[in-house]
Amino acid sequence: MSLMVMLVFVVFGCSRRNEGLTKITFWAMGSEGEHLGSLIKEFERENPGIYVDLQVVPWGSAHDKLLTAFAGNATPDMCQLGNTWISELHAMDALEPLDSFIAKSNVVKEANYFSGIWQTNVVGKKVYGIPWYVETRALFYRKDLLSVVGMHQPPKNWDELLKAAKLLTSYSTKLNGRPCYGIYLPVNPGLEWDEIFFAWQNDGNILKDDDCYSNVLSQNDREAFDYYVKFFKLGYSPMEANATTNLYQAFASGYVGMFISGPWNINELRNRVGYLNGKWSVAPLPVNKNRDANAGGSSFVIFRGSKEKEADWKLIEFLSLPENQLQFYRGTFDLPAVKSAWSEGSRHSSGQDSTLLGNPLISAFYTQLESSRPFPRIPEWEQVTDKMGQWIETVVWGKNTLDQALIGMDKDINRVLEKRRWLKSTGKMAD
Amino acid sequence: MKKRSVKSLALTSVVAVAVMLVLIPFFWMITTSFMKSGESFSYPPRFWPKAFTIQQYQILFQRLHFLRDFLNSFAVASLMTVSSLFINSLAGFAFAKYNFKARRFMFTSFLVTMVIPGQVGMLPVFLILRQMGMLNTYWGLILPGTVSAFSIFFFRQYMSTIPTDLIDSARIDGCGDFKIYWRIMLPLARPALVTLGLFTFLGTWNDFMWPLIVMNKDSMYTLPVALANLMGEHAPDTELMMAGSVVTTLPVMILFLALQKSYVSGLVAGSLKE
Amino acid sequence: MLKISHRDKKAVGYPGTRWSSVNAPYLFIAPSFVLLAVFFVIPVVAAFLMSFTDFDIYSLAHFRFARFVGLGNYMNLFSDPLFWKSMFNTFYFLILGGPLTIFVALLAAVLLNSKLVKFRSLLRLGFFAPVVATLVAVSVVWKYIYDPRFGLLNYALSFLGVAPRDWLSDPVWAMPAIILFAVWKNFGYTMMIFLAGLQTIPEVLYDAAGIDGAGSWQRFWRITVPMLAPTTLFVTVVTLIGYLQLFAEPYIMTGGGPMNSTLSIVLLMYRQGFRYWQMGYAASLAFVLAIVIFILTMIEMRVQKEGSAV
Repeated sequence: MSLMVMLVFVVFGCSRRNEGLTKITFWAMGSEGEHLGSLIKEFERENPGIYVDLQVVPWGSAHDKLLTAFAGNATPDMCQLGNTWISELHAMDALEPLDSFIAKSNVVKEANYFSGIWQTNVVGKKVYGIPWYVETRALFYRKDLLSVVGMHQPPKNWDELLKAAKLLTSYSTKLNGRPCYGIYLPVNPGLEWDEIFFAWQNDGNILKDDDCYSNVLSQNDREAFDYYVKFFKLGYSPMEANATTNLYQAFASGYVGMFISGPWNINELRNRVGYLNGKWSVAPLPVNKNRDANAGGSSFVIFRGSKEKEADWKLIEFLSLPENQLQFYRGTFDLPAVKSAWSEGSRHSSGQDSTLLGNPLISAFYTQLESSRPFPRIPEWEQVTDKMGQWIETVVWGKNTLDQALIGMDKDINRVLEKRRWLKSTGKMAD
Repeated sequence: MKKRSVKSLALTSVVAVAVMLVLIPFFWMITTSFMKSGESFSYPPRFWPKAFTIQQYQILFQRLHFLRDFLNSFAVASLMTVSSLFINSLAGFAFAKYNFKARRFMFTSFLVTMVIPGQVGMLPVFLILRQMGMLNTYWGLILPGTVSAFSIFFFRQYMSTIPTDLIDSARIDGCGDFKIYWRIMLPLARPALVTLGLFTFLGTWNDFMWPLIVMNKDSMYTLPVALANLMGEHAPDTELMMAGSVVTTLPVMILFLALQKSYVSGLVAGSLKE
Repeated sequence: MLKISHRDKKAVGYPGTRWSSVNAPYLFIAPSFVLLAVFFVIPVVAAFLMSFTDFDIYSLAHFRFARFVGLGNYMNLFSDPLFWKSMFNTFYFLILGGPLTIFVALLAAVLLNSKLVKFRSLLRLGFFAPVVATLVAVSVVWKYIYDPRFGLLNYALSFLGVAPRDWLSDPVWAMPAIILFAVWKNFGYTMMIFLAGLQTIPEVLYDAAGIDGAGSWQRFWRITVPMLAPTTLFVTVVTLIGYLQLFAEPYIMTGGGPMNSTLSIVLLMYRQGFRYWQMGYAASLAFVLAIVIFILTMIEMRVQKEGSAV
């Protein structure tokens, strides 16, 4: 059946192409979209006959926008997709499986990618996205302050992280004469996921049984949440929702000494508080039982509704070439998904290493990427994390004990997953 | 007499100071929008830029598509104003000058809509628009909000005061019903049109929740939605956010200043009705 | 009011009319009636039906994935602490913010009504400016005004010796901060209405009271307040309905946090409906909101009526 469909599309594609220009609509997000222009031009030069209509969508609204575009039958041909969203769009039957394209491709091969990242694109047994750039979280820390308090290496495990937070808190508070904090961990539910990393690092997991039930009452999860909350209870992390508003200033002034964030902040820090260069660095996350963080980033997907799937695929292959991945990195500072792109570039005879792996700030992310894994790929994930964040927040503010909150969290998450269990049990949900 | 003028001066100054306090956010918004990036991160806060720069506005219009969003807002508000004036004044005319069977029933139906808040039907309206392919279109944003019971009542009240003799003599001259509406009622209802037009324009321009739901394509954003999204990505850029706020709110404030007499009279008439 | 009766029309008889005047009013009302049916009546009925289903993101792909759940959504709603929290917040906002808005408005109106104040129309405009400003834009501005380190509010309070506070990040202070903003944004409207109401009070009453030796305070309570009763009813109902629909302020300034302390009913509905796509659940929320507004408006009108009858 799907082969039939494919065939029809190929035939269609060919006949259309004979008429002249093949137009593909490509949605890219935020600054990625803004920096894609020159690569797209190059692609069009190499592939006369294909015209790419590049549309830039702001990140903040991208998620809602995609869902409503789908709802309104207005999806583009292809799109850049945050890879946590793939499952969601897959659940709505919006995405084209790419296995047959990969099978005949010389450029896109599973072995070229970080395995955790690749997995984010697999639902059931089929691949729905090709990793474009990757992102994970690592520890940003004030090197100068840490060495003043006697830690010349970034924290390597959970105990050291807590100790570093403690030392930085008391040192900076004394130095600045006002409350300062060792680490910034988000207290409000929203964009950050540090609680989940801690759970993973403690061999825990938020969901279990094929992501149909909550697992937050498990001992491993409990220990991880307890560790997370400790930073607030001990006063090592500020209880404010707006810290991110001025995170860079806060980091520069010593208000917070460490934070966990993604690779884009390397560039943000350089631009916004350039005077701080050399005083901070990035390290892979401290290890507990492992150092897992999420495998994030974006992938290319092709929508089922696209009439030009062959052309879409050509563009995907083009943007997946190591040299193009590196060129894209130079524009956006988004880390390449193709591993070989990391050692692409020249090692100068002078000893200067211009590859990505040669840069210690960036190579921290390479280490982190090798132990990263995807979030559960279910449409309810956003609700699950919101619920989790809301309950943890009540513990941080002392309104509930951890155990009270975990019971509430467990109940809420299980309620959110009820529909999913029903669909599974009736066999209505195709994976 | 002298005592009275002292008292007058004191009272006037008290009120003037209060007004100034109320206006400080606007003042700060405007001056900050002319600062260069990062300048507002200072304590005590700055009320005046070291050097005026239009850098933030350049970013807004050249990189962040605020001109497009501005035009969207303008188009939506204008189309909404015109269509809502037309449709509601027609209905208001019918209620004011005709006696017909279903009059009571229809009038009550409109009345009921004033009691039920708009959010109730929002979810199905979204699904209906989706079904009709009208998400991310101007009309998808406009049509669900065109009919306003308030406007219909307002027109009815106003048109009731227009003498029926005028209509009768027009009839004798051979004018059809629509011609009577178009040639006689509308021109005479001009003050009502201006007032309601202004209300509708400002209301549509300032509306947030509905455009947030209907317009998900950035090319279709209205200014408030664009500004809210900008907050997501550029929260640390205070100066840029202030420039965005200026662009969003200044046009309607200027429009209001220009037509404030009609606005205020309509406001008062609305509150004193029936 | 003069109206044309059926008989009149027949008696006159007018050549060149395409539609008979019997049909004309229907044709004139038709556009608004059709729009009202399609975008209001049908949706409200649909929302009612929807509130008995679990219409959600899966159902958006295939309608068959929606189930009839009876009163399930309402039961879930009433057992959901988040719903009660949002109810509490909304009423907190209403009960503190509503009277405060009306009080400030009345104060401003009385001051501006005094002949002693010069430049009244100009000053009136100043108070009114926040009303016409775009809500989203000024919400953004106030978010920065509330900034813990660089904000104007903390700076202003420092002169009074008040320690800086992170207004919007504190579960205790976030809602009061939003209330303060809402009062600033809205009192100008109410003030205008009051000003109009004040102008309808005959000067004679004050003069007579002055002769009787009533002080200005007494005159205010004995004359101004009772005479303004109908106006007060109007602004109370308008404020009530408006404030129960609190949405953009927390959406922009706090996102409903911290600890859901600014989560309003409409924000919860938006989140459930258009972020989680739990549309059945959201529909039940919308109905509860509608009922609450209806009941409160009724109570309000009853209370005021009895109050003014005394």
